[in-house]
Amino acid sequence: MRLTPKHKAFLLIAPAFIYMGFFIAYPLSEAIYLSFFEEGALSLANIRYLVGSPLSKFTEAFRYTLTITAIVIPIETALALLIALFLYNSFKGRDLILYMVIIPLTISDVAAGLIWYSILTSNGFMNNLLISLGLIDQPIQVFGSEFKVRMLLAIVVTEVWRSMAIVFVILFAGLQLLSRDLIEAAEVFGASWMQKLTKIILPMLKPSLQSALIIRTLFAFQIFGVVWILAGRNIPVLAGEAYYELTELRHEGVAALYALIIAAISLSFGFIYIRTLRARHLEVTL
Amino acid sequence: MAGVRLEGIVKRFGRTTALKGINLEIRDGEIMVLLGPSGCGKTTTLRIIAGLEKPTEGRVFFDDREVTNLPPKDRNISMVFQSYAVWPHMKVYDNIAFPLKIKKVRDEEIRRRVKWAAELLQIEELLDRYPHQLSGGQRQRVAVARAIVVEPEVLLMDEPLSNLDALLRVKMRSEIKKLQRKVGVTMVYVTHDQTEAMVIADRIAVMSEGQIMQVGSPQEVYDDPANTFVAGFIGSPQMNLIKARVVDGVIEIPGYEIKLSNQPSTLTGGNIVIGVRPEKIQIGDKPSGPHVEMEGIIDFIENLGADYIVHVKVGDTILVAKTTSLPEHVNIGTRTKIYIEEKHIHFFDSKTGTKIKLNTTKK
Ligand SMILES: Nc1ncnc2c1ncn2[C@@H]1O[C@H](COP(=O)(O)OP(=O)(O)OP(=O)(O)O)[C@@H](O)[C@H]1O
Ligand SMILES: [Mg+2]
Repeated sequence: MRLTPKHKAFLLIAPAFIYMGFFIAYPLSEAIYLSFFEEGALSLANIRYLVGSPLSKFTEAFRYTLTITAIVIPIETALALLIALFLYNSFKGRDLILYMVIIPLTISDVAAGLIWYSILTSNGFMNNLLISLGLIDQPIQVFGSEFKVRMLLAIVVTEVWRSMAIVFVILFAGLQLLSRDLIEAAEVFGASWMQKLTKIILPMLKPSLQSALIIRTLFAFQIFGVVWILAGRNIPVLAGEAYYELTELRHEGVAALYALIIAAISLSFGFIYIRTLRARHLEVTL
Repeated sequence: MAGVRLEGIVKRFGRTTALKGINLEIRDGEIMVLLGPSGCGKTTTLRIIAGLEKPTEGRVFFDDREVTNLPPKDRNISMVFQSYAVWPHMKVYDNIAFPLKIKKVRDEEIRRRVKWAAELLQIEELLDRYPHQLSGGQRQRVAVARAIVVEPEVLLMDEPLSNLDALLRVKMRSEIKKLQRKVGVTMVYVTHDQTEAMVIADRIAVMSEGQIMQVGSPQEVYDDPANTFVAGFIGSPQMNLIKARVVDGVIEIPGYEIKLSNQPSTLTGGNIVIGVRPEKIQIGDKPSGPHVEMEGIIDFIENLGADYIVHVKVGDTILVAKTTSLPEHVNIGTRTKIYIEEKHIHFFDSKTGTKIKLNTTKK
């Protein structure tokens, strides 16, 4: 039997379909089943538990996850962009700065949490420094259930430090791809630094910004390790609750529901980014 | 409008020296063409005038105002980039309008001027497209349109017509010249096309390897090239440059001896290079003024329609001649007489390549 082009095409995309079926569709359907079915019958028990049970910290976890995401991503994107712009032109010592910015990329979230915990704890580096400088005489407490705002701050700092690197790498690579002439042309025609940034660089950087934001937002909704190390369940987050419900309370259905919620949120944000950051000039017109 | 003065400009990129001491005065309102082979430093010179590149040594003036350390945006210039640098994320209209928007020109005036520039460059139908939907030549015209919508003090053009077809190029170059005459802007125009240079320039600066070889009007660089480089670079076909020796008032070229009726006193002895433009070699017709007469064999004839390019073997040397008509009997292999008026023979030092000044007493 001879293969028609159509058959060939199906054969070629088959591995991708099998992969997605096995690793995405199947687990997803299992999660849906776990969340919404009990002994073979449709059941909303898990949802009721989620929003109603005194054991559940869903609302808080939802709020904290959104808050952390909403604070961390703009800060790290702005920072990464500034550093990428700063490192766009070569100068002495550029490579050193480049390495320093990228190093956190190689550190796991738990390790990052531990590093910052040891810096910020009462007898850690920060307090020792401030005391030896004579700026304070009592160590500043950061951790403990009564210091929610401070812990949140510590989480934000750690997350920004840890995950800015990936945003930076994507933006820096995107920036390197822009032809220098295009930016110089703006200078020649009298654009100020700000005009250059907003009218030329950012619009052309859209595809990179889009990738960076999508990747980061997806991961931000899964934030877990850093929070678990720095605040435990004092600052509940969605992924942390899923873990807690599964391992401590053995609520498989609730844990699966958390996973579905995280997936749904991620999906909607991804959709929004793709719609709002479209680089129209790169789209093929037929 | 402003004149531009470059004083002792040296530009090094790491180990390469792109410019080796450029001194150039561009007068207010003139078209100065930078002409030279690839890699001679034309773009670098332009970028230094624009402020995109800081000279390693030397100073840049706009009139009497030093601008050496001024960023491009404070120089009131406009530029066509060799790579066009048309912004991919803006439609053609927005590309052309950008310089005007930056200068906060009124919307209505922006529309009027964009329309005017687009018409001049024949790209009106393309205003609503993105650059990736254009051909190379169309993109280049967008770059030119963007550069001319503003009224800068200095207009810099880096090979603005290099990607257009021959017909359009001829039309555009006269449009650019007309436009410059109308607005009177000082213009620096880079090209390596010598015909384009001759047509568009008020003055030409011929460059080679980071240096300026000669500055002068098109006629001056054509009639009176300062050295063998300029002599060979300007004119098509290339000027005949022949190694020669002067012995006892006789000029020896390989296999032939030329006697001048009027030996210049500066031409003593030794090795020289003589130069004769192909269009100054006459086949058949004897000129009336002082001339040299040579005999040779026709080696090859190229018929260009309007002109003939004739290769004549004189002794062991091939001379290229260009004429509009050929005598009847002339054909490949024919023995023929050729004549060169003495005033059209150039003498160059064989070592330095510089012109040997002739102090023949004028009669
Ligand atoms: N950024 C740079 N870094 C290193 N060398 C450079 C740089 N820019 C130019 N050069 C070198 O300087 C010399 C002059 O370059 P330039 O671009 O001015 O030439 P050009 O006359 O414009 O040539 P073309 O006609 O090919 O455009 C070249 O040898 C080039 O390799
Ligand atoms: Mg160039």
